[in-house]
Amino acid sequence: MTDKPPEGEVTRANTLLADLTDGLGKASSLVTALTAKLKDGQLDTAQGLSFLEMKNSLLLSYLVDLARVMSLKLHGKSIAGDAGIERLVELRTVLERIRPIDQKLRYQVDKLVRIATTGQLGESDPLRFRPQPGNLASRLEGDEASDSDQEADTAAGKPGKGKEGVYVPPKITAVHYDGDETAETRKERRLAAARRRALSSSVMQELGRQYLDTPEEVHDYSDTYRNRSTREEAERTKYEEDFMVRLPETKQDQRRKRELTTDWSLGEELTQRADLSALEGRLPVAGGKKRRAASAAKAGPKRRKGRGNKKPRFNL
Amino acid sequence: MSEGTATIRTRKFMTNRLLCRKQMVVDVLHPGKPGLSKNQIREKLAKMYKVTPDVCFVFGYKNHFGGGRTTGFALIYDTLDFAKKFEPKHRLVRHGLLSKPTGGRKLRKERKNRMKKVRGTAKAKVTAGKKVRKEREVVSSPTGQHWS
Repeated sequence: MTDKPPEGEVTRANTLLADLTDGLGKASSLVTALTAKLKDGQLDTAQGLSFLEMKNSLLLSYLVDLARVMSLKLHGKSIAGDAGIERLVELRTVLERIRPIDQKLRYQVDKLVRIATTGQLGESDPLRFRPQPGNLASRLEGDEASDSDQEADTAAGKPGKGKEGVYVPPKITAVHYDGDETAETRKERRLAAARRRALSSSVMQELGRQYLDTPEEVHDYSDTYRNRSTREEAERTKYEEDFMVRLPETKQDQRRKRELTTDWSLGEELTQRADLSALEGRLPVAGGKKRRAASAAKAGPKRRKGRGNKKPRFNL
Repeated sequence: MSEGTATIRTRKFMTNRLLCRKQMVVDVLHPGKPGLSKNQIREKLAKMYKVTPDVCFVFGYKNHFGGGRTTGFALIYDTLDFAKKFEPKHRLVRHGLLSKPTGGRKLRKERKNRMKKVRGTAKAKVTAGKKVRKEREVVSSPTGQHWS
């Protein structure tokens, strides 16, 4: 290079060289401190991540080779075909290939760093949510959980503990208190309950199905004990409606149907006609139910004589 | 028509061109009240389908479990003539369009059996009732004794 380089480049080179010397000074101080620590044995990497150690040594060899190449260039020697270049290329490839592993180890590295700095796991670390059987043990002071009998005894054995022998009932569980309820609020509450019951009766549901356009929900559950009879009933209804005839009911069918509607088999609510008087503001009458229950009880279930459980026939 | 809150819904409606009628399944909703009578249902259906009640024939009404709902069938003929032609006799009798044959089943069968013994137009002469026994003549004997 015989011709003079341009001015801008010279100044740039000077600044770069100055930065270089600064950087070198810092680096050398760091390195001496690190080597001192190593010699003292403060840095023990036996239990660390071996991946990071490997990365460190790879980077170190890369730097060494790079420094050699730079020195060759500074001395003006050619670097073509040098073994160092090949080593550099190889190291560079390896470092780029292990970068995704770095990503995958990010959580572990962060955890270890956090433990090293703060001494415990982070707030949202999933390891914090492992089951703690120790929480199941009771933390009561004094008596342990095995003394529940003693507690009951003390509760029952000293009932009269109060002011001057006033009887205080033992407080075992909390009970609903409705002593402050007036007659009006009680009536209102019963009316509201009756309204709710009337609105959800089968008749109102039918009307809703007819006039509202909510989609129809079909609940498909099969009652194991009544599967067959339900299926037969559905078949019979389908036949009757398709051919517009009424199939005759055998005596057995009649008896079975009657037994279905008795109190002892299904209970009062299902056999009573839906009382919609609550929707008009009138409380449902209790006397009506008792009268119907009495008449149903009088009919009573008849004993089935002879062959029972015969398969129902369609008499065509 | 006194049941103001009863609702009538029809399902499975079909127009039967062969028998000149419309047939359907009828659901009557009558919550808290007893079921409607057949005449009331006929009148309501006639209003719904804009026909006279005399061509509507309803039958097979059964009350559902728990009350409040009754299901049955209904046939609406095009004209009364078709109805008289196609409807079964017992339903025509219910409407008063046909009269039930008098006498009992036994009497009818006996008449038929008597008709079997006779040939031709004499069949029509066979009476339906019991044969009237002729009065026995009272014969007087020369001695004055009577035999009946």
